[in-house]
Amino acid sequence: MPSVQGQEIKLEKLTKRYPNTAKDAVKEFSLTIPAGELVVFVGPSGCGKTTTMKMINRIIEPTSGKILIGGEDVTHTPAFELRRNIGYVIQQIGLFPHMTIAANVATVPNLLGWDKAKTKARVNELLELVGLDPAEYSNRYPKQLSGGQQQRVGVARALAADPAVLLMDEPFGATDPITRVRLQKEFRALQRELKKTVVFVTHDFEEALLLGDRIAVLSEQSHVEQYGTPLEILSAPATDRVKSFVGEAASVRMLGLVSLKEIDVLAGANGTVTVPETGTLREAMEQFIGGADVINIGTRGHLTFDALQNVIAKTRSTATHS
Amino acid sequence: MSKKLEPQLAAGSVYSQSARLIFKRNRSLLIQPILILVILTLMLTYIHNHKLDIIEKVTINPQFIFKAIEDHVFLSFSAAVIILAIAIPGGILFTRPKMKRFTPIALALANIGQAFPAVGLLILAGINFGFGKPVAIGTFAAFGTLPILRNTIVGLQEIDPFIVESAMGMGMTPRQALRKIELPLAVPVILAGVRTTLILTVGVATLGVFVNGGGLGMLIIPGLKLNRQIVLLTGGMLTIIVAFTMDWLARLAEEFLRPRGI
Repeated sequence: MPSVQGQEIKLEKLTKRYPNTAKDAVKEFSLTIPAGELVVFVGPSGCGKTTTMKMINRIIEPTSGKILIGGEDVTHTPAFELRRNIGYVIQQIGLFPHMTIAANVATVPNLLGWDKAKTKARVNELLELVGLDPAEYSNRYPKQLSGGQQQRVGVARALAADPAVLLMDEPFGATDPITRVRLQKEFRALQRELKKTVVFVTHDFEEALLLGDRIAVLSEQSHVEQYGTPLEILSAPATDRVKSFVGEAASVRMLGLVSLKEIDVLAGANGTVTVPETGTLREAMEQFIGGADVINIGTRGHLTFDALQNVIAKTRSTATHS
Repeated sequence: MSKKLEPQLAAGSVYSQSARLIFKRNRSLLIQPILILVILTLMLTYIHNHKLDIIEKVTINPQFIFKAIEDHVFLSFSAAVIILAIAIPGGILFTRPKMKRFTPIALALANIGQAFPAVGLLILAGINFGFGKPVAIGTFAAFGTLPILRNTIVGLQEIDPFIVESAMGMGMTPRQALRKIELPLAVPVILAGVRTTLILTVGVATLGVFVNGGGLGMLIIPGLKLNRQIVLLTGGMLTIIVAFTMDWLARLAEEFLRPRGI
């Protein structure tokens, strides 16, 4: 089944005020999320990032403001219609315990009235996509799966009707650290293939760096402190709040974001050590710290320490001025 | 999860548990009918070994007893049907967002129905609305509404809110979420309430005799008044047998209707 690619999401002055509260939970939030990109909302607990995300599929009804998906104003579309076209994954997963895994994944196709054969084929395709053997898992019940497996089913269920947009609220937050990293990496690979527009909420900055094409750093009332690529945020934090959220060792983290495929290298292979070009600047730096003078970057060429410093300076200045 | 479970689970649909499997897992389901038979045998032996006098013969005869049982089952079953028709939709209604604030009032009303002494309620109703089966059934219904109403409300409230949120997030309408997700998940708790109500109504139906409603009270009350122990005991034991049988049927329903996976 060919996959539907992402659509642009445009949020205009989205505001949420709960009754009997003194101030807005989310105040005039405006942001454009480019089609096919994964944007992470990151910020401290209670900053309104989840509320903001849940206003996109109107699980929380905005008090005022506008939501446009693919250029179409969906602020007043019937909520259930809107939601059938938006994948939704939450931290608590929320699988239906009385339905088999196959039935869970088939939820939205069934709501849309797909025929049985098409639904079944799609369910099998998705279970394979998230790494669960359909023959083994289709007829199981959620409680017979581990937390990590349940979350894979959650992702498969959200993708079932091939929505253009995916909303994810700390989807990997409840899994153990090892499973979490594995799920994150798998999801990143999956997203690169599917190119959905994803809004991803987390309070874990590492996760934001790993997954985000762009990151929106939010503070109270969902105020956007900075909106940019991970590299931009690490190399040029816009405010003190962003700086404190980015935390220590921003430079070292930044190195981990720059692929060795993208940098300028010196011609020829004069080095004593070789770093594969699938690595990042961080691995190259580690070789220098380890005592190497010249290193080969795969088969592309080589780097001296001076050349590496130039690369870093150049990366920093392009990130800052873009 | 043990490997042994898988072949059974691969079998498929929600309600496909075989009867054999249910009895195997739940041995007490077999004990109950045996107990019922034992009580019945004891009772029949007792009656058989007793020389009945003229007064006793008026009540201890097949025709009278079967009529009493028939009336009793009719009274309690009709009351239960009315209760189901009121309490389950009521319970659903009082868990919907717009009606939530009335839940305490509904529960208070149902509480009053049950807290009121059943005999008093019955006599009052009889004086006001006349004697006969309809009044008896109405009173028993008022008396037995609470367990099902409360269990329906609790069963629906206890569902993990994130399950309902994800149902809405998938694009189910509130009605679809209720039918496909909330009600099936609340079934075990609701059915437990149904069981309690059934036993309760079978018990209070013995009072039907006070408003000329018939039932096994036709044996118990004369047995007491005329000091005929055998009549009293027969009425009492038959009430127990009817209650146990109803309870057993309800437990079977519980086992078969409980969704798999929870």
